[in-house]
Amino acid sequence: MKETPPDIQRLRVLALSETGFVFDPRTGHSYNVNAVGIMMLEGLKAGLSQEEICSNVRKSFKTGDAEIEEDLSAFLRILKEHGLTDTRGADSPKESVL
Amino acid sequence: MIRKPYERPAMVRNVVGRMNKAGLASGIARRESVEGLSIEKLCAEYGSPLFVFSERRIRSRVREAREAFGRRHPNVTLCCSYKTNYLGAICAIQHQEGSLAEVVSGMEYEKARRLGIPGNRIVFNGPMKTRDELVRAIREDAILHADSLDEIYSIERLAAEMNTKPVVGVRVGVDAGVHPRWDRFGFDLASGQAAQAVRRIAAGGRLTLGGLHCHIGTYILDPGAYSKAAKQIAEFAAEIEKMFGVSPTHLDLGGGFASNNTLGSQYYAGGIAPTIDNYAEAISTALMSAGNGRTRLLPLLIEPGRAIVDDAGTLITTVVSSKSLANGRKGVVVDAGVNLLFTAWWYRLGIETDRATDGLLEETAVYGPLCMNIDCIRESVPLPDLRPGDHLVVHPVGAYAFTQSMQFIRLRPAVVLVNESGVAECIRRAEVLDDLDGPERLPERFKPREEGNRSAPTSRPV
Repeated sequence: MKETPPDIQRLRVLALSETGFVFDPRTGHSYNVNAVGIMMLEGLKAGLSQEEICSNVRKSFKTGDAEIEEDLSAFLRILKEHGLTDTRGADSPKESVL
Repeated sequence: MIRKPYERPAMVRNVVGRMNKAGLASGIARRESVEGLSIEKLCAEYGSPLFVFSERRIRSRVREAREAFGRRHPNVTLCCSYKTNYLGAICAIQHQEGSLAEVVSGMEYEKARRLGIPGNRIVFNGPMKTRDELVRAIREDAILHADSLDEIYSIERLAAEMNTKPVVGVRVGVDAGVHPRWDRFGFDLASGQAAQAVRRIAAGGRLTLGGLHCHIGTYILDPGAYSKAAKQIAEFAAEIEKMFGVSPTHLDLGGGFASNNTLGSQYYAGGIAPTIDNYAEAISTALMSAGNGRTRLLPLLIEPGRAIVDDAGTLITTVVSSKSLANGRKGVVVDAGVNLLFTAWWYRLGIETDRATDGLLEETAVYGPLCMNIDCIRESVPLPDLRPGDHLVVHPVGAYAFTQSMQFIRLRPAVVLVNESGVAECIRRAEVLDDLDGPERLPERFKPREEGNRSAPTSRPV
């Protein structure tokens, strides 16, 4: 089943530090994100595709291909659980960034 | 370009208002060895999960307790509480250090005898002693503490049959301010039941009065409770002497001293248990000052179990899988569960990992391998990104964990003792199915027949 792309408008306002501190000015919440998470978050903010994000992670970290894709999907679920993304319906007219 | 070690992406929201006001370190310690031995090598040799005990720690705790009481009382003997951990080697260490055996069943009694402990160095407590167990205890001159009048009547009948006059003590229940009060054991002091039991023994003609035993509870964090108990018992002993002209042979203040574990409801992690010195001071001072110092100072027995062996035991377990739970929280499944750590239901057991991490720690639920929802070792503990094969170290688990472990769904693992030279010795091999099946008897009609002649269907149904 093809995953529905997330709406990343909310991600775009997040402030990220390279040490893993993330601040959401919309809610005032802050988060700690590990190194792989930060790279994925930066990729999502920049509008990269899942393949491009996985490729970047693969270049920087020692890991297998399949694992990164699964972990990116899991990370998208974490973002959603924190209310940082909305998942649109597959037929949404909004612009797809992935 | 150097590729960095990969950890699965993790994100933890910072919650304001939940700062650690006690200022204790948060996070998790990394631990690659137990008693100086590599966790990886121990698992490779003995398998996982694996109980590891430290001989050095047990000896050191026994000596500490003996010295703490010995400095304050002229005649104190420690007893090894078998139910706390009756692995032969663990008890033998304590016996080598001079401890008596304290048992609460015929099975424990036999274990002590097999370790070469004579009956007169075995304290036999507990609410149930069978006729055969009593006969043996009387014949071997064990230190008996009666729990009920019915038991005293039984011993009287046996004494007549055996034409002997055994020495029998009584367990006395006192109000030491401990809640809930353990009033199901022995004879209540305040209501006169203890005096009635002593009268029956001292004046009945068939028995000789032994000691007064008292055990106020378990994991008692207030040494003051022992002061109250000791004072009442010492004054009761003086009263007995006045009333019947005989003195109890000894006072036994039981055990129940806390270990350096963390109770489930505790705010701090570990470190709140009084020292053995605190308990020794409370008990000895109360005994010395009872009756304005005019009571006879009787020989004292102490039965510390948890306080001696808890810290000496560690369980190594291995991560089987990790997953995201429905609420987004992380969970890991490890190969040891409540089948081996019954104590996880009332302790917040310490958990460390051998995995190095520079990454984020996430609150993680640690589940055991049983296909039961109740099999949870810790609901939430900060852990790094764990992978199958990583090890967790659970500590302290020296008290009750092994004796209360069960062959439920999985067989029990090996137990090793690290001796004082730092060498691991297997003191219990990992169980095999025959250990569980051995006592079973399968009626002939249920036994599998030869291939091709089965009465039961053999084809796969789906």
